[in-house]
Amino acid sequence: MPIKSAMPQIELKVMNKLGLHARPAAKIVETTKKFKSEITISKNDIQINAKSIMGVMMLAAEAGSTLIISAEGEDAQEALKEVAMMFERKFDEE
Amino acid sequence: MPIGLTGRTVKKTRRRKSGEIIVTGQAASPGVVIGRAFVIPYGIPNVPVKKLRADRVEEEIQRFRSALAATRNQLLQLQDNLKKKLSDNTIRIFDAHLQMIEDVMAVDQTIGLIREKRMGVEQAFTVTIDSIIRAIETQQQDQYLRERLEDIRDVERRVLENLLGICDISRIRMKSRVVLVAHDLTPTQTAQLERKFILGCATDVGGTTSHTAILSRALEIPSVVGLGDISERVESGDEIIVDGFSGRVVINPKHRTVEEYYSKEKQHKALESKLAELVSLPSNTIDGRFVELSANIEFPEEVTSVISHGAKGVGLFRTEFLYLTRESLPTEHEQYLAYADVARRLKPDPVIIRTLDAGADKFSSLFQSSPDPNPFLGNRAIRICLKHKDIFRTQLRALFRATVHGNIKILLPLISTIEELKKALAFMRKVRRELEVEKVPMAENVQIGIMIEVPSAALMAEEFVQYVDFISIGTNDLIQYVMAADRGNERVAAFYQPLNPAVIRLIHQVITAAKRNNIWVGVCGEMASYPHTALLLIGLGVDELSTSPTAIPRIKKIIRSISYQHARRVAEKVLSLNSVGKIKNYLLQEVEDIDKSIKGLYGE
Repeated sequence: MPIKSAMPQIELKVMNKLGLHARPAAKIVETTKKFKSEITISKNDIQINAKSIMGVMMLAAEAGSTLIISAEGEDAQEALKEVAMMFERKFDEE
Repeated sequence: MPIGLTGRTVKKTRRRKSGEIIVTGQAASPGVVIGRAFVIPYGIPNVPVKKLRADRVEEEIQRFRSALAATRNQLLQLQDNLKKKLSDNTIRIFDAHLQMIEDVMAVDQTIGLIREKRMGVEQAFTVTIDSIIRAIETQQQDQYLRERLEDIRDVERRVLENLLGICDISRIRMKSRVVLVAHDLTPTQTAQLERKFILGCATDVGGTTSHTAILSRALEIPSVVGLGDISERVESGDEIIVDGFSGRVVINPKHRTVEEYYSKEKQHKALESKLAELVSLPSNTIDGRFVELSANIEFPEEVTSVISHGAKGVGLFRTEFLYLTRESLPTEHEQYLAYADVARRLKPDPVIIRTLDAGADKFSSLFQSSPDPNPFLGNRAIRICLKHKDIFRTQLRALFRATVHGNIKILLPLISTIEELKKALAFMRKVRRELEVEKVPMAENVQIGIMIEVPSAALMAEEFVQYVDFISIGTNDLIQYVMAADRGNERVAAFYQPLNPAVIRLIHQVITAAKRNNIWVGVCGEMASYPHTALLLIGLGVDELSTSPTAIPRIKKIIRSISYQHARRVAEKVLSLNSVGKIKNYLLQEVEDIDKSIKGLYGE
């Protein structure tokens, strides 16, 4: 019997100097909304819907903080890939 | 402006009907008006509490969806209407609001509460928003994002207004002109102000650099901010006087006070129209010395006012507006558009654009996470730019690119050491070379100048002018650094003395150093905007005075009423006096002798 694979998730570090301030927050929402999958972000014990701007504001993710992004749905892998790229590019800010 | 974050039901304290009340705040935009108050209620409307019948749940959810859709359409329409009137930056405030209306978490939670708890939609929505705001408040340390909570409240208010059928400010049909009274005006509210219906503004909170203040100045609406609890003491329909010169507001004024203000207003209007005749005349002294008269502006929108008041160009274009009223750094392109726009409209007159002067009283979390313990002596202006070269580069690229559209000069703020100046100039050369390599068109010679506002630079002006094309004396900061007195602090206000002999001698020294080296010298602080101090500065030999657009006519009047020879004698005499009292009396007397009507120009 095949083992049901766990929900795909990745760990990302906030690398831009100013953390997830308003513009990156808006960008996360804009990007994740393109995907059908449910996408969540957790930091410590807070877990929020990545498609919610108020949720991302709640995270208060400063520079250097580690986030866990998980996605569930048909395009989960692509979604995670794109989110990872966005973090790596520091949201095109620097 | 952290307002209304916790106060859901703000109880109005009933005011005693009798008697005149004078409230003092900060003068934010000049002028005097008398009119009926229109109070914008502070806080969120009271929401009905009800338990839904099971068969009403879906209907209630539908109401919610319709209210969201209606709010969204109103915002889109508003945004569209204002596109012609306001800059892209102000318009962008609405984008954040639109994103919040569609917020999936807020919508899901609200619907969840309606379904599971059978709550009415109004209550479900406010409970949801409250819990979200509380969560953000406890988590979020970033001051800027915390301030964005106000946007969430703004959106909440709009949705509730649609659910409850209350009209918001944009839909109020004002029949007569009113004085707006509010706790604070949100950026979207301020953006909607219709000049023709608003006589003046009075708000509980805010300083002279707050959004309300800046916009009312741009729209030339007299206003006073920082009045404490004015929105609770005034009721719609009360008679109210807003004195944007002295920062005073009079509620239910006595007959005599009204008379006094009417005559003051009339006098002011008469003077204004008399001064308006000066608009097209040159700012020459009787004996033919040309003193450049230009304007200080904060927004591209103010160019209209610059022209209508008869200024020749802009002596100080502050660029903070691009950075401070928003959540992210402005791109090169949008800065370029703003600079080019102003330069093009004022061509061939010069436009002196100051590079970012953030920090001090203009803190933004875009540059650092917490304010300095002593912000005026902290990380600000050029110091921030030289630390965040990426931010500086973007602005410089935009500035250099815009130079092809008019007569742009670049001004560096808060220079305090030669090394710092050299570093800044070297970086500017580097950025210019990068653009050359990219074959970007630019004006050939772009003049670069510095603000003289730190005593270390003023004392060493002779050395500093060797490196620049011009200097502009920023008297506001210079005075407070020389006198060690914060001009915003009432407790030490008496020490903030523009006419202190030490200040005057230092300014004299700077101007002399500039003259000796054939360097153009202007003044862009408040000192340039009062007749008596302007008289002194002209006599000390400045080439230019730059003031707020509304002060231009009165300064032009004084320039055209004096001879340079006389102004020089006045300055000489002042330099021989040893106390601020003597100097002030002497200058005021001189100005009065020159023209009796000038006295009324002070407003007070």
